[in-house]
Amino acid sequence: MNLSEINFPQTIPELLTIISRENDIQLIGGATTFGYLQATRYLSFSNTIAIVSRIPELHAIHKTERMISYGAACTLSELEHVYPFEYPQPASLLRTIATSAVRNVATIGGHLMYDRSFLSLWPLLACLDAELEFRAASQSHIKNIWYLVDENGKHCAAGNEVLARIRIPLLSIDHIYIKRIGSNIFPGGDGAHLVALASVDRRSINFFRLVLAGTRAFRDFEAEQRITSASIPLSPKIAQNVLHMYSESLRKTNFWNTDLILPLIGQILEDLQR
Amino acid sequence: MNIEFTLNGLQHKVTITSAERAIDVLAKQCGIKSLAADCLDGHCGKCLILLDGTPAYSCIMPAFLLRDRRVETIDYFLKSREYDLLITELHRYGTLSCSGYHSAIALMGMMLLQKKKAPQSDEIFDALENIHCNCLEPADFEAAVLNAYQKSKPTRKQYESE
Repeated sequence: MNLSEINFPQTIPELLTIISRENDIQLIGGATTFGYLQATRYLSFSNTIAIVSRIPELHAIHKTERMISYGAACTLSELEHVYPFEYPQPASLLRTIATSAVRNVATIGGHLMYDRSFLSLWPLLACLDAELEFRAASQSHIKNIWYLVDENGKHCAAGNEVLARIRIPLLSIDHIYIKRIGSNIFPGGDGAHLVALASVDRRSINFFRLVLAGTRAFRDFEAEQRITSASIPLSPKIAQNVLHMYSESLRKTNFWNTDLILPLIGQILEDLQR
Repeated sequence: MNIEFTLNGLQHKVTITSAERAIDVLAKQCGIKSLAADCLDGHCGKCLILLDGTPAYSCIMPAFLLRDRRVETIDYFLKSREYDLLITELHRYGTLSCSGYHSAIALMGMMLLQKKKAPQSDEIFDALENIHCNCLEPADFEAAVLNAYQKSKPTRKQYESE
């Protein structure tokens, strides 16, 4: 039985001091993953743990005209009535993550920083071009959520920095497509989520984003650019071109099942035109 | 390390290690007998507690997360009038046939009865989702809870109908 030293920092600077002092430290939000994944009666953590869920600054939700930001320790339940979960599909996605007994404790920070795969909300926030605010000893960094993806499309750790806030630009979204692919979406399974967002203004596509994420993450920025500013209805040539681009880029990753995913992308492009 | 938290209205101080799950501390050190650690993966719901008023699985929660929190189990509500009303309605609709889940079902019902407004269907089904009992008919549970709610707050019923 591995016993850990437990710290309850009350502020972010206090947390950062503890992190700088300890070599082997684990940050704990709601701890819903550990209790689930560890089959033994007794739980095992790193030598030192720091509980971030009680730091007030990490619980605040701020909204301006252009942006909303959540503290990393906000529980998934606390996000149920804020952007983008005011839209029905994201709200439904949030509810499918787990039962309310888990959502009441699980934190958005823990959800995004889970390093074995990209969990359900990750592709949605990636489509929204969410930014992550990390705090280090004397400075803070704001990075696009794609910072967590390495060159192989896998989740990579953020080092000794602490995820403090998640910032999301407020966008007007006309089309949301969220599809779960594969049988088992929970950590350790082989499922993924396909999320696509689009905005249409005066029969022209304002923006189009498509992210696929499970064990790895995928996004083709060039294909998105190809379709942006195209008119609705899409000409067959543009639609074919975009599908071809996705087909090529999916094959290049040598990981995703192109035959499974391409029809879904075709469906998304058709839905855009309704 | 020592932690303090409120359990069923009373302040408790316990000594815990990082390895212990909340359910084990509640059972062994605080004498709570209404919880069961059957699945240890937040699935069955027999370990459900109210943590600051909302449901949580104590079997997947490390004990250290109880620090400075308010915890309630069904034991807290046993002597209340609302509990008697709820149990009567649950029995009437046959929703307590599965003995292993009595405490969890009653706790979710009591949580819903605490709401200021009559619980909506989605809130009721949301609460019920936390319990993995195949015998439980959701519509019966909903009817039992709504009946109990109405009976427990007669003056509220009058205002709502006006």
